[in-house]
This record gives sequence, C-alpha cells and structure tokens, in this order.
Amino acid sequence: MSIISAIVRKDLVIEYRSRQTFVTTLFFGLLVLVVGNFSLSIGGEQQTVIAPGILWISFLFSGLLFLNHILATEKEENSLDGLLISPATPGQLFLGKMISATIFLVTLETILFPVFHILFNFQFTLNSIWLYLVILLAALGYCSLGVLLATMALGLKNREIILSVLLFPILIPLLIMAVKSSIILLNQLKMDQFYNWLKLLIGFDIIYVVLSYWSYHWILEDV
Amino acid sequence: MSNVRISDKILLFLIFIMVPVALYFAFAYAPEERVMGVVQRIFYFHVSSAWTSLLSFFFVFVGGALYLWKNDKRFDYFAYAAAELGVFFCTIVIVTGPIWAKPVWNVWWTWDPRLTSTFVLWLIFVAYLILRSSLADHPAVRKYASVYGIIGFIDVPIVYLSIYWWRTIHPRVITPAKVDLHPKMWYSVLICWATILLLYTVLMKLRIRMERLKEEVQILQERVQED
Repeated sequence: MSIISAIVRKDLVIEYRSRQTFVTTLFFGLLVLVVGNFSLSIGGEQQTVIAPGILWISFLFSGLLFLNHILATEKEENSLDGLLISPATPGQLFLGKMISATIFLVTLETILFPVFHILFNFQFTLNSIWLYLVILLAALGYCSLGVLLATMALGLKNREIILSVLLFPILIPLLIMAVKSSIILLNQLKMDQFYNWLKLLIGFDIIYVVLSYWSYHWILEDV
Repeated sequence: MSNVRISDKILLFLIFIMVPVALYFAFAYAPEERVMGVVQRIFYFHVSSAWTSLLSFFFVFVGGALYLWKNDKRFDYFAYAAAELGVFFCTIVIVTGPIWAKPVWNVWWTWDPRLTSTFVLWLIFVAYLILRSSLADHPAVRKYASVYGIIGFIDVPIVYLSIYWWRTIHPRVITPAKVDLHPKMWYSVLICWATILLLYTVLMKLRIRMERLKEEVQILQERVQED
C-alpha cells in the first residue's frame, strides 16, 4: 500500500510543481467544450440532449493528452528503469499510475464540471452529484485501460495516434454509458434506467481494473 | 506445388465441390422470400460470414490467452491469423448488410444494436491489426497483441449489452427459443456456413504456415548476418 501511495505521491508532486500539463490540458478541455458548441451549433430544445455528448468528448480527449504524458515522461527522463528496479511489483506500479491518472482527470473535470453547467445552462441539482459520481467511475475505467495501453504504446514513434486508435474502440461502451446517464441526469428523467447504466458502468470498471492489473506484468517486461 | 500437403489437397478439393453446391442451395434450392424477394438471398452469405467472424474473434482470445499462459509462439500465429481472417469476414458482413438493408429498410445504415456492435467489433480488431503492424519489430509484439486481443474480446458482451439498451430493428431470425426460418432456408444457411468454414480452415492453415515461415526466414537472416 505504501509503495502505491509513494508512486501516486511522486506523480502528483511532479504535476503540482510543474503545473504546465495540468493548465494546458484544462485549457484544451475548455476549448473542446467551446468548439463542440460551435461545430454542432446547438441551441433551443436539442441542447439538453446534445450538450452531454460535448462534455464527454472533452473528457475523452483531455484524458488522452494526459495519459500519453504520464507515461511518456517516465520514459523520456529515464525514470522508468528506476521504477522497474524498485521493489514495486508491476501490479503496484499499475495501480499507482492508474490512481494518479484518475486523480488528475477527476481534478480536471471538477473544474470543467461547473463551467459546463454554466455554459450550457444546466441547473445544479441533486442529480449533479450523481453526474459527478459517473465522472468518477468513468475516469477510473478510462484510466485503467489508458495506463495499460499507453504503456504498450510507449516504444512507438507515433504513440499519440496509436494510443487513441487502441483505446477508443474499447471505450465505446463506456462512452455510451456515460452519455446516456448524463442525458437522464441533466434532463431530470426517470432514474430507474440510470441505475441500470450505473451498474453497467461499475461492472465495466471492475472488469477492466482487474484485467489491466492482471496483465500489466506482461506489458512491462519489454518496455 | 510440391509443398502442398495431402490434407490441404483434400480440403481444397472439398471446397471445389462445396462452393457450387452452396451457390445452388442459396440461389435455387432455398425458396424466394415473399416480401423481400431475391435480395434476401444475401442472407446466406451474410449470416454465415457473421458466425465465422465471431468464431474467429473468439479464437484470437483463446490464442492470446494460451500464448500468455504457455509462451508458445504457435498460439500467437494462430491468434494473428484468426484476427486477420476475422476482420476479413467481418468486413463481408458489414458490406453485405447495407446492400440488403437499402431495399428492405430503405436505408444503408442504421445505428441498430447488432449493426453497431458488429461495427465496434470490427473497429476493435482492426485496432489489433494496427497494433501488430506498428509494433512489427518490437520484442514484445506477441504479448501486447495477446493482451489486447483478450481485452478486446471481453469488451464484446459489454458493447453488445450497452448498445442493446436502445431499440432494435434488426430481424431477430434466430433466437434461442425458436427458429423463424423455412426448413429449406435453414438447410441452405447451414450448407453455406459449412462451405465458408471449410474455406476458413484452409485460409487459417495457410496464414499460420506463412507466419511460421516468416519467423524461420528471420532466424536465418540473423544467422547470415552473424556469419
């Protein structure tokens, strides 16, 4: 446990001290919200149905930037070798990286979340708390797969493109769950369907956290 | 053709006989569908390709898992071949689907659960092939691909479930409870599937052998360079 928290602390301290990646990614997420608004030229009644999609596109793309970054820096600074010879097992390394990526993404979304509400005229209600939970769960599933696949892409020249190509097809169900539950929550629709989506989302997280944890040592052997 | 094995010759001969038989069953033996007419006959190739591709993606999963477990390259050859052929047959499904859908549903494409999940499946395994080709010389390409194949196949039921919670308009011809087909149509599907499976077997054998030979060539090349 202390090993995992040491890795998390290390990553967060690095990000906190430089802050550059965080601010850039945050700005990028904000830009996607704005660009999404213009490219779909939404307004009026459709807005409440379409706007949640823009939130999740912003979520996906800003997360992708960060997932590339969090492992690439280890490689560029040659600190990956240090991590590999440390007493941490591959599973612990994975959990550490996954947790710090999730914390990063959730922090980012915590800032973008009210901005999204304001830009698209959604009321803050009790449902906003549920939506925040959905963001938390989606970030967890996203980062567990993301860390695994970003490690695979590490050795490649075109790793940014490869990561998105590998990640997005597998994330499609996660995206559907997130968008569908956001539409229900933001439009104050009946909640029973939302609970189904929530259960599916939790199932997705469990499956992929376990699977990535279990398979990480094969990936890490030959980075 | 001296390196074609006897078993391959028998298989090829069987295919040579079965292809005309399957065509006869699909175009002459099976009765014409009352509403859809002749375009319905694409169903025999569409459905049998769909079953074959799903089977093939399952083989990618099995091959990947066995490779990680036993660390035997032959399982990876098998998984790689299955992925390529799975994508090939899945492409046939995705191409024949719209050809049928245009006259019957009056649209080329609709985001119906089965269509969408087949399409997502296709995307996942195309990504698998992209991963393999971009990692071509990487020492861990087999491990990475195996892990990705497993992750991708486990995604299939989740994809299907999440997409299914929308309304479906795809004809549910074959459900667990009953088969909604004329017996003659049913025989024709099975004959077509058997033919495609034969073809699949031959292609798999060839593809696996090619992968093995590639490996041998590489080993020989390395030896030459050392000398």
